[in-house]
Amino acid sequence: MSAAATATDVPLPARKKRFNRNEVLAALIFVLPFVVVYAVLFIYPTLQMIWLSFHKAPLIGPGTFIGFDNYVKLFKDKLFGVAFWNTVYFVLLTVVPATLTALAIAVGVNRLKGWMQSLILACFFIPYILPVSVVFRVWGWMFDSQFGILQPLIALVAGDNVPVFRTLPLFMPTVAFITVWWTIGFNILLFIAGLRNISPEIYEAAALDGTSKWRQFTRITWPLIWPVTVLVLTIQLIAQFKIFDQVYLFGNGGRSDATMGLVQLIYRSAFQKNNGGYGATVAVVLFLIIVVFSVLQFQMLRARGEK
Amino acid sequence: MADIRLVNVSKHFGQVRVIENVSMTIGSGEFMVFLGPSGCGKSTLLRMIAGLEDIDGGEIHIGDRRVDELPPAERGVAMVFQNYALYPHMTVRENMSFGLQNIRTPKQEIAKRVAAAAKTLELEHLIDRKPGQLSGGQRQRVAIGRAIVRDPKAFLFDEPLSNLDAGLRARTRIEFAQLHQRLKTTMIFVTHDQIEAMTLADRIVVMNNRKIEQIGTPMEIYSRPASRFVAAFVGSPSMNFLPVQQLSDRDGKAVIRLPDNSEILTGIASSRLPSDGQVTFGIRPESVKVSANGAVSGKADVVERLGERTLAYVRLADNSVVIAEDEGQSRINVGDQVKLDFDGASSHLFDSRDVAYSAG
Amino acid sequence: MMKSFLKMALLSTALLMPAVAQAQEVVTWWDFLGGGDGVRMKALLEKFNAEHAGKIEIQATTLEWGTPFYTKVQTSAAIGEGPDVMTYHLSRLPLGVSSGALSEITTDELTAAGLSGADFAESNWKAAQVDGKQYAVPFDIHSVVLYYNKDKLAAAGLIGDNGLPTGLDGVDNFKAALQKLKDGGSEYGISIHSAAGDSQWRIFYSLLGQQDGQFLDADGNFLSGDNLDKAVKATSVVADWVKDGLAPAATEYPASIALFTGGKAPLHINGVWEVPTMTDLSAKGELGFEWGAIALPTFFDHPATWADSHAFAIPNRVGNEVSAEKRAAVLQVIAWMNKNSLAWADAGHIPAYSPVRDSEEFKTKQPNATYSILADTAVFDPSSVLAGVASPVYDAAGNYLMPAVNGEIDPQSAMEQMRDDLQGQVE
Ligand SMILES: Nc1ncnc2c1ncn2[C@@H]1O[C@H](COP(=O)(O)OP(=O)(O)OP(=O)(O)O)[C@@H](O)[C@H]1O
Ligand SMILES: [Mg+2]
Repeated sequence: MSAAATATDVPLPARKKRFNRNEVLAALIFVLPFVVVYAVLFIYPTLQMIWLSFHKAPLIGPGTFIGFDNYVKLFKDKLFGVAFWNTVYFVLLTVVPATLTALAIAVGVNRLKGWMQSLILACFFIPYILPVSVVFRVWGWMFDSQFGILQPLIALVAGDNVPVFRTLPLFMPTVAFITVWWTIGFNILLFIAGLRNISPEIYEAAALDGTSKWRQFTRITWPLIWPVTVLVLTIQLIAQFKIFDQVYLFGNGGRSDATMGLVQLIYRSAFQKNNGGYGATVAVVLFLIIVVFSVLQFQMLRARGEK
Repeated sequence: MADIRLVNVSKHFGQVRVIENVSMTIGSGEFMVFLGPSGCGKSTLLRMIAGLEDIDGGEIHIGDRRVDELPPAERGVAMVFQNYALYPHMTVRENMSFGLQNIRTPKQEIAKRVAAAAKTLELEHLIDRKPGQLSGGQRQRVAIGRAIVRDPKAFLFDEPLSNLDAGLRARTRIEFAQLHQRLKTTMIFVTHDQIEAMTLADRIVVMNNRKIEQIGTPMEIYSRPASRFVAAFVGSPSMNFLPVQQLSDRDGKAVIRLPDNSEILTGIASSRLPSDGQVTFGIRPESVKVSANGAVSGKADVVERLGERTLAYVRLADNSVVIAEDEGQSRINVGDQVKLDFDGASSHLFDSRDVAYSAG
Repeated sequence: MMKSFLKMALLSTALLMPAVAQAQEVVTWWDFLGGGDGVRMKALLEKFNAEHAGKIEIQATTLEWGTPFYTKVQTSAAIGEGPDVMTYHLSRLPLGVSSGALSEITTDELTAAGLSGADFAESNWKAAQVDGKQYAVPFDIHSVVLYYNKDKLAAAGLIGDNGLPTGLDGVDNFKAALQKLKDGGSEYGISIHSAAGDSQWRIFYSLLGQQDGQFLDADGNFLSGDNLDKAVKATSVVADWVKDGLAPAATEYPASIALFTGGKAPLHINGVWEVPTMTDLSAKGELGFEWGAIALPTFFDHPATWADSHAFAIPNRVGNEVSAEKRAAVLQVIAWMNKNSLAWADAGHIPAYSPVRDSEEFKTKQPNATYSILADTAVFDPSSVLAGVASPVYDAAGNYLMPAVNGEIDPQSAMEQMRDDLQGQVE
């Protein structure tokens, strides 16, 4: 201790140390706002949520501690099972199709030049900037069982008008389709950014190597775009696990128990039935599911990309 | 191995004309260098031969086939890009095998060819690395390897050395020469570095401004440039150009008078020169010696000591500057008054349309 | 420098003081009234503010109807940041009280504002109480009515001598009438909003009430005893229409209205809140036929129609209680709104305030007067935290009743599942 003190008396190290302290201070000042915001807006509420899940409590106000009772109830809750499988089903219906479709469109758009490219890209991107309520209105109107402009087409196939949002087997696939339509613009953008990063010379080299279009895609474009694909898949996975708006809006008034997702169960428990403790429990479980799935997926995909 | 013939080839990008009516023949097994300043259309011409750019007019033949309508892969040429364009996600082996796999070459055959190329290019210990784990020079060798394994009728190189440092550049240049000697395949090599051109080429195509200025062996290009552009572009330091005061004749050879009234007898036949007498005098620095009994005098502005020789930038009476050579141990200093001896026999004249006239 | 700044601050405060002292009471108001309701409420609010200039000023905000509104009310009440007064569905009152969002209104306060229970229909006034305590003051009674296309009905011989529809009472009669209308060239006999539980709930609850069925009995049991059979009967009535193509299956709200206004269905069951829609279309000459609205026919033993009330409630303000003056002002607002509720009747509603309902002006107001009998035959949603607007009961209606109506589940098992589900949610 005293040895260290004498050491700092030597001018050079002392100066060095002061410089370091300044640096640390500056680093702290720059990092602090984020840390504070993150702690206040993320860490603290998350801990509160976990704490709340061990209570029988209303949405607002204190409750009584009940240990793991909420969790026990959750695993017996038929609705939780339904909501879980609906969520997984929705994730399956959207994540991979949205990614593949976005990639296909991006590859196509990337071939266009100049204003044509901008125009087509804008066409695919416009849905993304729509608020969900507009998406709901537009598609609700197009699919309307009485007056929807898609019904003549549907009647051609099905023989009669079909109320798609009130036909259980069609509900999730249709909402998934609409979701893909709605959100694909962003994925396309990510893919286009990725595709533009591939040097045109590589394609020229491939052309000289006599690569067929298909092999060019599978052996060159696809591997080179793989990191972007992993990113898109992961973003999608997390977003779709949190599915709420579309399913809620399209299912509202209908068989909402049969079409319910996990976030909707949280909403229903906490906000509609004023059961904050149980809502928090579902939220904690969803949080864990998302963490596990996204980490798993990311690791798996990255491992495959590395090969 | 095949010859390559271009007949009246043209190309424009939108309104910009990049290549205009270019014709040439590259002999089978020849090492041809495209030389020219940046932006003159060398790469474009090379890419047109490779099939990476369509041509707007003319014909391209490789061997006995007309290829300008064929896709790149069917032209039987291999190209090495300036930035190598290796497949970043494939190992060295995969990079080299890829093209062969595309044409369904048997596995054994591929392995054999890749091994041979790797051996030649000393890439064997790197064979399972990816391009990101290689140095610039190694990447460049992989790019060449990728070309070699395909056993092409011709190799096209687009400034393959420009990304290398000076030392590696010199060494690799020699490797290129050796490679050509061994393979004896037709090669086209694009560069704007005249040393590369001079040392590697069987013949050089000097290009400027969408057109071919001259095609010839390195020595032809150097000693008998076809135009003022070629004369100025080739050779370092550049050729001296001096205005001619008066053109006269002595025994059928042209005599010129410089602005400072000194006269120089050239080796150029007067009869070949244009009748208007409007000419510019050109002479390479090595033909202008600093000499005590030189006919022209001036003041040394700059002295560059290069070791084996010394260059003096001499300002003449009329303020024009001539670069002259002196021996390595030259004693002249900046500001010295010096006398210059012009070797008129190896001088050049250029007419008002920049057409060059050389002795012999 | 600092001193002069302080002086300035003091000075400006001093200048402001008299203004503050004389300031009118500002009453913060939240409602969930959109569409035609919103337009009419806005007019009422402006009128109030004009009449009370300098004394009371209402500052109103309109929020999203349903669960979002009630969630916001509840959360803001808990931290004392809610409004001073707000609109509230009486059906939602039990849940509001149980979650502590509502403040009791005392008889003294009511009296001071000139209001008394005697001024309201008894069932209506009771619906504003929980455990005998008053938590809201009713403003209107709104219900569902039968809209009709007079031209089509007349052609089918279904208009009586008094100019009103006739021959529609009784399950079989009504169905026969629908068939007749359909045979007369209409696409459907009747148009209903069959794609959602809430609209179906209103019809169902009316038909259950007409049989004296109890959805939730005094012991807290859902569809106990023969109530289940009555519920099945009620469900089957509508399910039969859909099955026989007399009513459209799984039809969304706007489409169900369009079927009626477009002349494709000569009858339509919907809330009184759509009266302005019809009035406006008719005034613009875009309807193409003469329309009217009557109370739901009596399908079973006696008239009864589901009803709910828009009411005024005062949220709890935990830790941020308002002054007695402000509370008095709030009650004045509530009383004024009720006394001026004739204008509100333009939105199709029936004023809850009896003096207005009994006034000559209202009695001649069409079509309201035709169905004003509703005020006496109204059956309000069961008084339970599980019932009311956007409640588990409404969800259950979507989950079981709606598919039963559309023929996806048979009515018997639908009602059994609905009963079990709701019973399971009783804490
Ligand atoms: N895709 C294109 N669109 C328009 N102009 C082009 C295009 N490609 C090349 N050019 C133009 O054509 C001319 C010739 O280009 P090129 O690449 O052949 O030059 P270069 O001789 O290879 O030059 P460098 O030595 O710098 O590589 C240039 O002026 C260039 O601007
Ligand atoms: Mg180039």
